Amino acid sequence: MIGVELRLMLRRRRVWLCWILLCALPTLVAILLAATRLTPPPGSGGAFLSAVVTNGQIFPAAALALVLPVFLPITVAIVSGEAIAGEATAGTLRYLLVRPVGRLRLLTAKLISVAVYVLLAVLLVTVVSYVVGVLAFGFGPDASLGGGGGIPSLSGATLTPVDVVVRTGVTVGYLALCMLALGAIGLFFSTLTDSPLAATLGVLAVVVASAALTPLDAASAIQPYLPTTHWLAWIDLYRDPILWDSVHRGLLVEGGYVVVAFGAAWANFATKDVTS
Amino acid sequence: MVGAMGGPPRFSRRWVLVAAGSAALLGAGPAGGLLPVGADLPAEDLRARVLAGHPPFTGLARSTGRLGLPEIPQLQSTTALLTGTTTIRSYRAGPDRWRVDELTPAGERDTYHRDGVEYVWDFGANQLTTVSGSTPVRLPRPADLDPPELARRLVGLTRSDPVSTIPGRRVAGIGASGFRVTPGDPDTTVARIDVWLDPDSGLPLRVEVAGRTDPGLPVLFTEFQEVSLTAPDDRTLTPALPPGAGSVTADAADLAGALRQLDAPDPPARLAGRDLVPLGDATLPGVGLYGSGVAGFALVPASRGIADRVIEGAAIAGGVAVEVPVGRAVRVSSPLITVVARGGIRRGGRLLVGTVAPAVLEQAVRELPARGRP
Amino acid sequence: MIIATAGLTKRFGRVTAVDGVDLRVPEGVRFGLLGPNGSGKTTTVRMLLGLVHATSGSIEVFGEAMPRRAANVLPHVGALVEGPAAWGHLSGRANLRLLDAAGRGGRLRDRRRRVEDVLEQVGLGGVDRRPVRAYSLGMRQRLGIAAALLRGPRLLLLDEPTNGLDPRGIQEMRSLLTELNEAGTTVVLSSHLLSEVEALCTQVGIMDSGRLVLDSPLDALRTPTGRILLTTPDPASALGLLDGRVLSRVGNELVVRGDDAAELNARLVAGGVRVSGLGAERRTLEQVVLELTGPGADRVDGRPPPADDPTGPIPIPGGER
Repeated sequence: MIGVELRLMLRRRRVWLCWILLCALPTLVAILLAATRLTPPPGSGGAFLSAVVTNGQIFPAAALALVLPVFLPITVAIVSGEAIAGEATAGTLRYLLVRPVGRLRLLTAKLISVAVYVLLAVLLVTVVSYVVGVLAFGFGPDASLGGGGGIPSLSGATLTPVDVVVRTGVTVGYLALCMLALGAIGLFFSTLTDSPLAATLGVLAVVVASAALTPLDAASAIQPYLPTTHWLAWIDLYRDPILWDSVHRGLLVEGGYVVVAFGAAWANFATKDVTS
Repeated sequence: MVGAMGGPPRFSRRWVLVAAGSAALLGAGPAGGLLPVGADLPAEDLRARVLAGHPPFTGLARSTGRLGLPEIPQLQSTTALLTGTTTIRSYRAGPDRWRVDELTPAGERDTYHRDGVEYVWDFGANQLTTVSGSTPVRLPRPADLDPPELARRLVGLTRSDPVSTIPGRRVAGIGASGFRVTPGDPDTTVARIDVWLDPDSGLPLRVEVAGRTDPGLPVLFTEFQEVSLTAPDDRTLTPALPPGAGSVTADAADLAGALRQLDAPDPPARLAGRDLVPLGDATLPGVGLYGSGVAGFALVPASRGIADRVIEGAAIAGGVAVEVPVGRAVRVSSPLITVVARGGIRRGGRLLVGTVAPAVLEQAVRELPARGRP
Repeated sequence: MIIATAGLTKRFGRVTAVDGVDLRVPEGVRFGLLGPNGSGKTTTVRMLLGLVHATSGSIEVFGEAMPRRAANVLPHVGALVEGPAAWGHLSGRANLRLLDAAGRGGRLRDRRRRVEDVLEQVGLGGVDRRPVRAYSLGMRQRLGIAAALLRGPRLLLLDEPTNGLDPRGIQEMRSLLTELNEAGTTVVLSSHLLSEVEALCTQVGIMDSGRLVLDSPLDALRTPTGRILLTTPDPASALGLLDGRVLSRVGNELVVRGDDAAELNARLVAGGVRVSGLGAERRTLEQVVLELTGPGADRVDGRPPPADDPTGPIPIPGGER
């Protein structure tokens, strides 16, 4: 079933469109920056964006920060909201269940396909933006000075290429987990309704509500448990030495969301009447 | 047979399982509160340990100010420390070898202190500033807010005030013992200073300050999220200049030069019944510190433009006008800090800031001489 | 028994969709489940397949409890529930391959062959690579039936299997199902089309507002009505000869009381009346259904329906449930 699910996902035009759009936004930003050389003043604009012009190798980090707040969650909401509700609407859900595919197995396959989607999405953005960044802005002053081609960390110390690869790898994994938490919530919503659109909007409502609560002091008690609170923790990976604290917390909370949302999806779907 | 027949329907069991699992996950965080806290120890001993200094450490602290201070032009970075949450990462090898990073969501400002020279790395500006020299008076900065530093400063100011033992608590995974300083001066706004420290190493882990308007609610508190007693290595304490970044040099004494431009008179020897505190050798023209302990305030000259902007900004933010013999003045109060600004007079702009009751600063601003030089 | 339910009941909120159904389908029959729209046919089929969970009552398929033993039962069941469905962006062939791969069992090696076989069976053997989205209604219906046949099921549960098919397609499907049935597959089809059930099924169940009001072999339903239909070129002579027994006459066609057509024929021939057509009138399935069922759920009356015929329905031999 997992193989079937992956093949189904990879042959959906919508999925490829999501990936292309995700890569298109950073590319557009890179082109505009390269053409105008008008970087946002330090401290405003997207993270890392002001540093990009001097070193194209930072662009993957800036690109991830660009797509993270809105673009990426929207595509995850679309893909995960579709998971069960989409099959229900198409009517294929009942045929899968009488094939028979166990309901837990179906949910697991759906979660895995969402996981593969987010991992590939984050990875594609990273790889494409690295290529685009280097093409548009070069390897940075270090390379011209005969340096190792590293990038500066937030703390000033230069990261070696090996360091950069390791940290970028951890970032990709971490962001994929954050998005998977959202995907698991989407999967749960998708079992509640037969309308993929409703499930997608539900996920976006969670994102918006969480993002609205994050800066609110009055909500400080629940902030550690909000999904969006931890989305930017990966930036700490680019400090020197690496600040693991928030990444650890993020892993626990986002992992918890995956477990709880998937459990809720299972609890709801296992005995749900399939009437679509 | 259908599971729904007889007994409760099956779905409820699944939901109970999921609910129990979520509760367990949610509870895993607060359950840390059940771990042992530090023992109750004699408060005087604890105070002595804070004053004796702390061991080297590396830690991540979060400081929160709830002073509700309005934005004051030219002082935003300082008011931000007192009205919001600041995340700081400190590496302290000793009093003269340390590094404190102020972490912002997508950048950081790192202050390195090595052998009397300070270096400031600002990622946003992509610039390393080398600051030589120092001034006897400066604005609060993030490095002042890590718990050991704040504890040392506040406890140092209140050496003669009474202390008491308070229940321990758990901070950053360490069972900490606590004590409370209750300032005796009737004019101060500070109701209490609570410090929790690691009973083994003597490292302060959490500091809370509450104002007299509401002694129950801490308006400034700072706490380690994570701390280790390992000394930072030398590489960490060495400022790095990445290729392509700017490097500038600044002299702390430049501030004195800027103040000299204002051509402000020497501060009066007494204000609101408090004596001027001598500032050592490197004097800042026009700047005076009055009072002792936590019942003190500072007098700072300001250009007319700045003073007027402060007054306008404060009026919008709920400041109260103060009757002065000449010019105009406004007072802004918060639970801990009182600010009075005077303007409207050529070369007579002044700022008064302190942890004293509003009445004291109002009296002080009335006593200020009207003109620049008599 | 292939299917045996006892007291099967399903409530959706306050609506009782299926109410105490005791359905028994013996092995090897072609069973037709009839009933107006909203009578609970589809919900019953869904419960048999474990898609909808019963509020109370029990279901056994192949003697195993459903839905608990669904993993054992369903691999031997082929189903078409409320119309076919497929992933629109894939071709029919890809759909079947993926569906086959989704369930356990079914070796990879002969998947291609099995898919080609069922496509051939339903008349889609030469279908090209265009996506299902571009299929006609009839093609989709054929694809849905192909999917049901994919694993060589012992039981076929088909809901409205001829929807969207042209008369020729219906004929093909009918002979396919008869063929499969003769090879040992039990076929259960639910339909609101009487003609379809009448043409194909050997046994009939009739549902009305959630209850199974009849479960009987088709032949037992079609009892003589005690009337004989006569066609003759000499209607006037026939009228005279059969004085009093003729119930009505339209042109050359007469309805005569009595249930022995042979006796009538002998009498007419003896009386010199030419007979061009003669036969005992049998009750049509339509009559039976109309007698047993109320208005469909899609009809909304402003006033309550008129009271039942005081004489009550005609007793049906074999339908004593």
